[in-house]
Amino acid sequence: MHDDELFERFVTERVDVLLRYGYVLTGNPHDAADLVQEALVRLRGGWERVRRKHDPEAYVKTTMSRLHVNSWRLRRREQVTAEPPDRTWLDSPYEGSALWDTLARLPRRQRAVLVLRYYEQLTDAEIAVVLGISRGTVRSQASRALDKLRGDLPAIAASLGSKA
Amino acid sequence: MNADLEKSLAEELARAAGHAPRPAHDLRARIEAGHRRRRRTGTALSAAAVAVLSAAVTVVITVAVTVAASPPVPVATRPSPTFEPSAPATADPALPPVEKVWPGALHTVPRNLPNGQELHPERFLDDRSLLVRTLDVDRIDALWAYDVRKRTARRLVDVRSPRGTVVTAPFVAVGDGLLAWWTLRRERNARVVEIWTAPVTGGSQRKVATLKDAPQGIDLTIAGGRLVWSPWGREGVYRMPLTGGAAKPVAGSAGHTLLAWPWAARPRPGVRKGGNVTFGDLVDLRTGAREQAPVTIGACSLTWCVSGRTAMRRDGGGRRELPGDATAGDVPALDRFALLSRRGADSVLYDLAGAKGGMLRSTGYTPVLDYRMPGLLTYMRGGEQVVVNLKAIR
Repeated sequence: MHDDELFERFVTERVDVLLRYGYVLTGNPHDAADLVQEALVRLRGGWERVRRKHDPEAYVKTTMSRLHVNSWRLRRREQVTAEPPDRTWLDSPYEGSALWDTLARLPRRQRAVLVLRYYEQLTDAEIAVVLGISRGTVRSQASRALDKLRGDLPAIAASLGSKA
Repeated sequence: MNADLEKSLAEELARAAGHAPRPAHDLRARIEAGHRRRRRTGTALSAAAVAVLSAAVTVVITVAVTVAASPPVPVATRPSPTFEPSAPATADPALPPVEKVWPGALHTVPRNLPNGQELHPERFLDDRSLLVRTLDVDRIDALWAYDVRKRTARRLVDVRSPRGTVVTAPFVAVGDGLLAWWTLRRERNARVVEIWTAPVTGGSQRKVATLKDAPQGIDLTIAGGRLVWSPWGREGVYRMPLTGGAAKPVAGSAGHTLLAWPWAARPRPGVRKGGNVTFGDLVDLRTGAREQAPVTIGACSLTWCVSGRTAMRRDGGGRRELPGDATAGDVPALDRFALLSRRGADSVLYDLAGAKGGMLRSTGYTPVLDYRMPGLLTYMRGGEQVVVNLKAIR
């Protein structure tokens, strides 16, 4: 199969998974869509090399994680972008619990650590590699993030309960 | 508590993922357009972006190698989150419900005040007055005394948080005729914790302390006529007069975290360094007397240690099997209560001192019991919230 066809197939098969990851990582459907698109653009540029040497999905997720943690959107807004924000991305926004709201107030890196640990189920060592930080930093970021979530505990407990 | 939070997190993230956006119909065209734009402007890319990209490439090699041994389950094929427990081999024997075991300790309170604000029970001020908070999003907006017999609420304090406050105290301290809480904000990239008090009978708030270069929050209590606290994410116990003044570290508290004055312990919850028993090493900050845990894994309060389905006193006596699993790392609340999970969906409130338990029939999520909670367990049942006054259990 031709490289372009393989890329096409990868996008078709994995885009939903990537959008899910982008959504829990950013908490925002527009950011998720932008992040996936940008990471796929970068994958497209290096597709042959990536496909031969790596797991393309892990590659894209790593790119997404790092772009997000490094405040890529901030930089990108300073550049000229051709497309205006596209409403078609918006599907059904998640009206999550207080826990979801609290996640939104975490610094990006702390949130990324929690998402990699509790959504992607990676070990701290794997998370350290994905984000390019030390294991100690992974642990301290996770612990700070959990402390902060725990700080909102009564609100979380009450709101989880009220969703009955 | 940790395991509960981690479980809630995993469930919440999996649930949220189901609401991810769908791909744009012209995604492929967008990728091609982006690819062409990138090639055109490739040399103009910011150095940072290039660094990120090349770092990502290098890094993935290692990920691929690491992950190869145990590939993560692809998200798409991961089972959707569910609250159905896996089929139990044998169900745990039934226990009577909490309302039968401790009828005098249970109260039912509405979910909202007449003004529509959600009511969050905090602690009992006396047999019938329940201190409750109302929130502005997630910050304390006001403190109220709710009369559980008359079912009326009286506003005690209008809580005003400083501009830029990001977190307010999850628990309000009570003692010496005062209510005390804290707020956290950022000032020039540094964290500032401010401590506030107000009369327990109602009145205006007063700022008593400003802690610069502060932690994310503190565990605050009033004890021995002083404000006493431990910082989150760090160790040590500090105190200052109720009227404010200099914060002083309590002698002998280094490395320890406040458990219940005058006792501090280590390692603190969530920290494995220093042993596998949360609060296993205990110190009396007045006398300096120390005690060790009789177990090698689990969590201890002042008197009790729990681990899995077993509990025993710190002195090694009183060993008993529990009618459910204690959450790993959860320190018994009020030095005697544990929330146990069971095969099937039940949770059990268990009194270690009285050796009895009652089943919680929550219609919401599993309730949470935290050792720092001042004597309450709350959960939803139908349209109301049930408040268990743990201090009323004798």
